[in-house]
Amino acid sequence: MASDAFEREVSVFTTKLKRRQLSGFHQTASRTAELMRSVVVHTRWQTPAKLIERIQRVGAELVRAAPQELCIGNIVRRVLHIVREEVDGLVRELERASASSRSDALTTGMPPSAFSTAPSLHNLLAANLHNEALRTPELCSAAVHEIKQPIIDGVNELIDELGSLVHSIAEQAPEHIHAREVILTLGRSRIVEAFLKRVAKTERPFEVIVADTAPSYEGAEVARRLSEAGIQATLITDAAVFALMARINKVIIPTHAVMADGGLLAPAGTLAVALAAQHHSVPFVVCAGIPQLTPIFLTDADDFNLLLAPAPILSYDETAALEVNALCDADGGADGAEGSAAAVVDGPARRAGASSGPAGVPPGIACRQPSGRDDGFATDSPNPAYDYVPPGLISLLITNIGGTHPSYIYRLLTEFYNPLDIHFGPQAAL
Amino acid sequence: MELSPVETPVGSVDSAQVDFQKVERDLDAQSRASGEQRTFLKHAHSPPSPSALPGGACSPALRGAGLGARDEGSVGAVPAPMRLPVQARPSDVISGAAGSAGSAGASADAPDAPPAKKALTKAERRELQERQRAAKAATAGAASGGKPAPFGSKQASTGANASASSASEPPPVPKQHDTTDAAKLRKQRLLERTDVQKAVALFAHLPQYEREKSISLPAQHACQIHPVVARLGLQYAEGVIQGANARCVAMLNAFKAVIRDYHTPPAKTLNRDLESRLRPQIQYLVDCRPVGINMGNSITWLKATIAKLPAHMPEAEAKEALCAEIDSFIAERITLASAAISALGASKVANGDVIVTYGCAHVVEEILLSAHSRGVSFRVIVLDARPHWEGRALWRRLVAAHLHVSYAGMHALSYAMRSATKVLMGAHACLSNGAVVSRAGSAIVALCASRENVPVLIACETYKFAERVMLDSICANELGDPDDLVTVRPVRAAAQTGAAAATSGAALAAGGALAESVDGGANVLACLTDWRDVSTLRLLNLTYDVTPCELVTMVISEVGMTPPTSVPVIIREYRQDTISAR
Amino acid sequence: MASEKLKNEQLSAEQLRAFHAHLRDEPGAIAAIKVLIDLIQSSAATTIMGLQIELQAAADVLKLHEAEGISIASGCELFMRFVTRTALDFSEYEACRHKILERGEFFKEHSTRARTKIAELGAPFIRDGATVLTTGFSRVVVALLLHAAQALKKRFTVLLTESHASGLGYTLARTLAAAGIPVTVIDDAAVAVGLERADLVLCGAEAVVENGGVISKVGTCQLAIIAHAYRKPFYIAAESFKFARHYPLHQRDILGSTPRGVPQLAPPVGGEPDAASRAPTPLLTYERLTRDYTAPKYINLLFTDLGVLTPSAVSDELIKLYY
Repeated sequence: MASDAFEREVSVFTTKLKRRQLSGFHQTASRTAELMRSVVVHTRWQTPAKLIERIQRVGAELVRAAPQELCIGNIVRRVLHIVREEVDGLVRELERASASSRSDALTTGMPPSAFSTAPSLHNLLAANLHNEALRTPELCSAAVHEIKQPIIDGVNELIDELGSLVHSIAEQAPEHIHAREVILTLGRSRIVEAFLKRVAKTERPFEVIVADTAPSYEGAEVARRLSEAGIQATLITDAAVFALMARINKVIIPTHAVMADGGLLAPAGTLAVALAAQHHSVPFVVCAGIPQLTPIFLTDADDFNLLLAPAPILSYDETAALEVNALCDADGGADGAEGSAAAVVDGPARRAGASSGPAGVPPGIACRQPSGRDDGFATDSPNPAYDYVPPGLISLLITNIGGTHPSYIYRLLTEFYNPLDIHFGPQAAL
Repeated sequence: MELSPVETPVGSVDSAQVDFQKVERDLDAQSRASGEQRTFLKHAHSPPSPSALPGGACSPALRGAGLGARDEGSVGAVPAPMRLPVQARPSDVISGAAGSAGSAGASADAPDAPPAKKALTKAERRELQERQRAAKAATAGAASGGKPAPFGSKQASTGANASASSASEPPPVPKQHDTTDAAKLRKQRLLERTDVQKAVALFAHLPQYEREKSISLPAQHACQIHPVVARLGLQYAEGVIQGANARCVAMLNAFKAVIRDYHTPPAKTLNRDLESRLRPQIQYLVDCRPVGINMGNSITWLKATIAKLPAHMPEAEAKEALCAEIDSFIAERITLASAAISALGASKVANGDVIVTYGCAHVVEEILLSAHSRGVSFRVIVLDARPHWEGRALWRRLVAAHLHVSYAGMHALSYAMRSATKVLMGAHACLSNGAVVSRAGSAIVALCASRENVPVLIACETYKFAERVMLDSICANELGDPDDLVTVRPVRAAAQTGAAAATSGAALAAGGALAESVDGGANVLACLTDWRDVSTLRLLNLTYDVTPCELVTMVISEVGMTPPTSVPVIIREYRQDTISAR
Repeated sequence: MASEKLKNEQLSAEQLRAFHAHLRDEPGAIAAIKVLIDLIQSSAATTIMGLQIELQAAADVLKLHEAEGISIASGCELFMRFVTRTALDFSEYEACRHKILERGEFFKEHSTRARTKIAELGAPFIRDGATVLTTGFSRVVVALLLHAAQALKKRFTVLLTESHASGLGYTLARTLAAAGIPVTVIDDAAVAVGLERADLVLCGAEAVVENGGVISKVGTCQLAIIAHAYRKPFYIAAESFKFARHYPLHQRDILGSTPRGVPQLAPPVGGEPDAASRAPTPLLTYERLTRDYTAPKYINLLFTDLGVLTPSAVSDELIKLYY
């Protein structure tokens, strides 16, 4: 019965994800964490391996629903990591208790139990990890019962972390922004907004320039909200970023995800800003929560990228009109220029302009025939969702546990995720 | 970027303009009596007839950098009809004129009320401006700058005060001179323009005006401005004529009209006096919208040409010679130059190329079409950005010409660059330090390209080469109307679409193609509609940016394909053709 | 230390022969470890301390090998470290020796396992339709390319430099072509031209040094610098036993670190027909530089059997091992 309700919960969540009714880091991450807690609570599991398998299965299902929401996979990995840690602790305890010291004494000096240990140079010669990676310790169910509550506590802590994440990042703001600075930001994120507002509380006068972040124009909203918080905010178009970068002290931006090499998967347009910042030697600071760190390397800049509908750039009407013209153009083509004049909008407009009245503009510029009439138009309008920003462009990453350099991301990843979970599901890695 | 208005206009009454002046004085008296400011619209002696607006006339406003003035080509020769601005922005242009609407015929239908979509507060602000201007006009005789504004909000009273004014209320200093010069410079202005209310501190040195319902010319200057120039200035201010070439050609044609109507006063010589007649015209145009570098170059050329005329040449002959010179300037430096560039540029387009372009440059279009007609198979990606979406027109025309074109927003820059093999852009000007001044956003396109090792080709006629140097885009630039950022698509296009849609079904195809998908609220960024009421919020609409020399691979001009570092060489070699910024 | 006397004492001619035999089909590090394991088996030492001294002496001899000096050194160091740690866990000499031998047997197969793992980790970075530029002849790179082509069924082409002095490029080209991968061999000097066509660069390494940089066959560094200038990703495939506690600052540090790597005279190639005129003079010398050092800033990622690492993670591994 409980499991029925749970299955329903999962399917509601995945449906919402598939329809992109839920998106963005905060919504998806906390919902995923709550769902993971339900898995731990509701699943009947006799061995830790069973639990892990169950989490992996549900996790893979969620990831499949929205592969671009990388934080879902990250939360699942975090939960798996919590489980593995608890199991490890239990195994170590049991080993110590049964002082019989299972002849495999080698493990004592080493980080024990291959259940959670990653390969490292340190234990390269010591253990044949590769073969016994998922050696499940034979635990009695009573012992298993013992770790259930700690696991749930661990997941609850994770949920708390998600809740306080914005605050913990924002609290670091006064360390990074001094009086009279000019900050550039783009995109909309609770984290960066709170970060900047936190500085405003210190009453340091500073100025924020917000790029409008086409095609969502979220920047406009951000500028509005910052200015309402008493911050001097100036909205510019994305195109003016390079021109203004010369006067900017810091770029502070949100991101969609931080990848394993320290690079970013950020809203489209971010790379251009990062390049402009580098060109002008302006520090490029990224605010991101730990659950946005993704232990996956991009093998290609377009991994995880999406091409969205072109509607925000090019409306359907415009392309439809184009087709009407195409038809008219094709019809009129037989009659020559004047026949098509009524149909091809810009062509005839110019022709009319050139032929009527004294020519202000010489005909050489004004008049031209469309050439090469092969039927059908070849046009498209790509609207990518994300940019990959390589780590070399990033000066600093501010997370809820402090600031780091992108070169240190690998380390944070090993702290929060188990290497065994990087590709946890059958299709998890896309 | 703009021509410095350094010369004080000298009022010299031109006998040819007597009638004109009379009308003006009458109108002026009327408007002063009613406390209203005249607009130049009222100079339109003939009422604008709706039929005078063909469907095609909508296009120049949309036609970004291309020669929008093609349809406007008649500017120089046909002084009368003011139909375009009227149709394009009925409410904005006409409402100020309502006081004397009787003479304005059809335009009187236009409502005096502010446009419906504008917030009430904005209307009030407009009213405020009106009243301020009225107050100024009341003391217009003195006409010197530095009078305290009635409500103390916009005008700093003295130079000392001006420097003390806060960042939020920067002094209305038109130029990057110190404040003691400010008053002097303001005095040089012919037009009483309202300085922008919420200027961005960083750009306080640049002139920026509110978009006004009417642009008024004080009576003492009115007589100096030729009606054709007056009309042109309005079109500049309204953005009806856009694009460097279009603006320049329109200006030169207007000057031709001025020259034709010029009569040398007794005891003066043409080659001395004509320049002083042109000076106020130029100043007026600068007041309407800062002139571009290419226009500055053309003006310098024109002045030099006038000065070179033999002193004792008969007037009619001299005028003919001048007009012929102007014609040949347009033909050689603009028309033929662009043809030469398109031939040169097309030779650089190879099979399989993916060419990224940004915005809409006429020469780029020529190059692409020329390459296409040579049978080269290539793909084009047109990148575009707010606020003008100029690239859309280019995209539409290239699609119509059956090129394989993609159209994407600026945010797709890095995505586009991954498949790109060349970047081809136009320029507003090429500077002596190799930098290229171009539509804001070009620099970032060039930057991404150079990072991906994609060569950046700039197509630019030599009449846009300038001797000046620029390091950044801040010291000199042009500030656009901040209200353009409130809407996603240009308002003007929206108005036109409405107009087109209202016309008969025969124009359906045309109207449809022009449609900018304006769908009420979706076009307006709701959070910005009342941005003027949020004291800490500013909108900045930068027109140009400077692409540094190292990001440009090649400059294609009519003299050949050269590295950007060779711009000063070309300027030097062609100096006899008087290419210079100032 | 490395005198002939010591050499004769520590390693029999037979053991040295075996070492050279190992070297033919194994990386230096593994060959050295195999020799050291054999040495333990035949050792007459009765204490851990004695064994360690014996091993250290043998390792010093092995490190003198001119071509693979650094790799051998890192292998020896890794093994010595393992012996020391095992010794801490066991009080009894015999138990300890037994354990070392047991793990040693397992480790003998390690290089094959590591290569497989690296191939699995690195192959996804080769996209369909990509062009991969590589230089030298690295077993790991070969394994990776073959895995991508055969197991992952990727279609890609390989651009290969000829590796002039050794001619190994041709050997590699034949190997890959035989496996059905389209290969083009280009001049060593043509890398800048070839790189414009390539999507990524993949190289092997002799050693991975402390800061994440690599020491490898000459030609790698210039390739990395060009790839950096062209913004093409530059990947290194190397097994973790090549991680060495070594921190070069200049190219000359590499030469200094290989005592026998004294530049030899190059056999004159081409040029003038008269052999006498090609003879070296005080003003005309020939030099062959065999390896170079590539700084970490030019390296995007390292594919190792420990996972895909950023250069900064290499130091982490080494610190964990030796701290």
